[in-house]
Amino acid sequence: MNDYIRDLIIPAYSKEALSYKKNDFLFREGEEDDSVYFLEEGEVKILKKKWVLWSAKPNELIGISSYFADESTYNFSAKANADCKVYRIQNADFKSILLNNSTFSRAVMDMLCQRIRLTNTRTKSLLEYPSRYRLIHEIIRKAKEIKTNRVPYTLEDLSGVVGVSVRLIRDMISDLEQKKLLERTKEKLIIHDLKGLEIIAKIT
Amino acid sequence: MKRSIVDIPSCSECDVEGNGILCALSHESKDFLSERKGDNFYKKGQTIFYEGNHANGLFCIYDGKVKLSKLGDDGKEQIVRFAKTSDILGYRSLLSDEPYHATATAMEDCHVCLLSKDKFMQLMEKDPKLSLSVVQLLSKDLRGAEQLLIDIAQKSVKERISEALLLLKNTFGYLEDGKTIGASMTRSEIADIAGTTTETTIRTLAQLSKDGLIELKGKKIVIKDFPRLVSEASIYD
Repeated sequence: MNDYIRDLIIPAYSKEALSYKKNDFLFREGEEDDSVYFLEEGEVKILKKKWVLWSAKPNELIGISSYFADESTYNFSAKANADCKVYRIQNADFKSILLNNSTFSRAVMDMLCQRIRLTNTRTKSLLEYPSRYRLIHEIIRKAKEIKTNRVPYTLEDLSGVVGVSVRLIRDMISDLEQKKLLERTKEKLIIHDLKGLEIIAKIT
Repeated sequence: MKRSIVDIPSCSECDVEGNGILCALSHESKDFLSERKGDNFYKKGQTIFYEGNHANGLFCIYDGKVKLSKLGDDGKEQIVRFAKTSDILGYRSLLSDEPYHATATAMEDCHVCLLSKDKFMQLMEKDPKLSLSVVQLLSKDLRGAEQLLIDIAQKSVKERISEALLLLKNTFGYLEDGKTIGASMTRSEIADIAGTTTETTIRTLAQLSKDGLIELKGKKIVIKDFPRLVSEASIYD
């Protein structure tokens, strides 16, 4: 369904691709909300203050929920987590496509349903599991997603995702390093013992 | 006392004064949706549908209040949202063709219409305004879900309980006295909204009452100092 947006909607409504370098902001919380973004390449972190709400992947739209809030500004920030290529769809066009194209509407509904489901799962995890489990779960999830044992997470990234202070994350990572389960470098974590991590997080 | 049987009219003749997304449909669309509509009565505490059940239709509340909750692996309930007259339930499951994501329970005696899944999906194809409204509704749900996530991650229990009271006030309004929240909630239910224990909720509500922000009258809660309660909830957005 998202290929449909890339192949048919974007060429009709957004002629020019915009490029962002890693750590550039597409927009910041509080800025005027005038567009919805389609991410073609890269990854974009959606942040509410320092808290990572979700990470947008290629073929996803960014800024939909902000568009429908009764506000004229973005209610979160969008920051490139890698070099990105995006297309902008003006808000007026976005509404017009929704009203005139049921396939597009369904694609947008599917994206929103998926994000609600992921958000509720994270809330459930926050309520049920201690921060140590959540940290290890997130590291394992990311490693499996990108299919490597070198997980590109900094302490600050993990603090935003897990929802605890950088200091606590540092302490927990140090403990895992002492157990020789992983190793921390400046910009990534290197997993040495995935099975050991899974046992601690009670995944297996 | 509410009657258990009332004559619920067809959608096009519905007399409910609400701002639900179906209220704004054209007469023709409402007639279409009304075909194969069923009407049900649920007593207070009765379950309308369970989390994990196959989604076989769209529920629309004719009158009454409903809570939607999810059960954690540890058996603890988490209230995810409330619904009131003219609100619809179960739409996310219909759209994603998945089982119901939460359990819906009547908070008071309720009359609820059950609309055909096929009719709802067909109408979305026919009526773009309905599609737009559904996207709008999902966006609102997403913002609510994200706010709950941030609150639970970052706010103290006292802030969360204060916010839970404001959520109840915003959803159900006040009774005629203009200061009592228009829904009766047990301490356990308030705990399930704030994501904490009943014991902590009892202590925190007593503290808010002692501080003069609220007054507790059994299951009813009177908001005595709204600005201070907003401040206590740390709501700035």
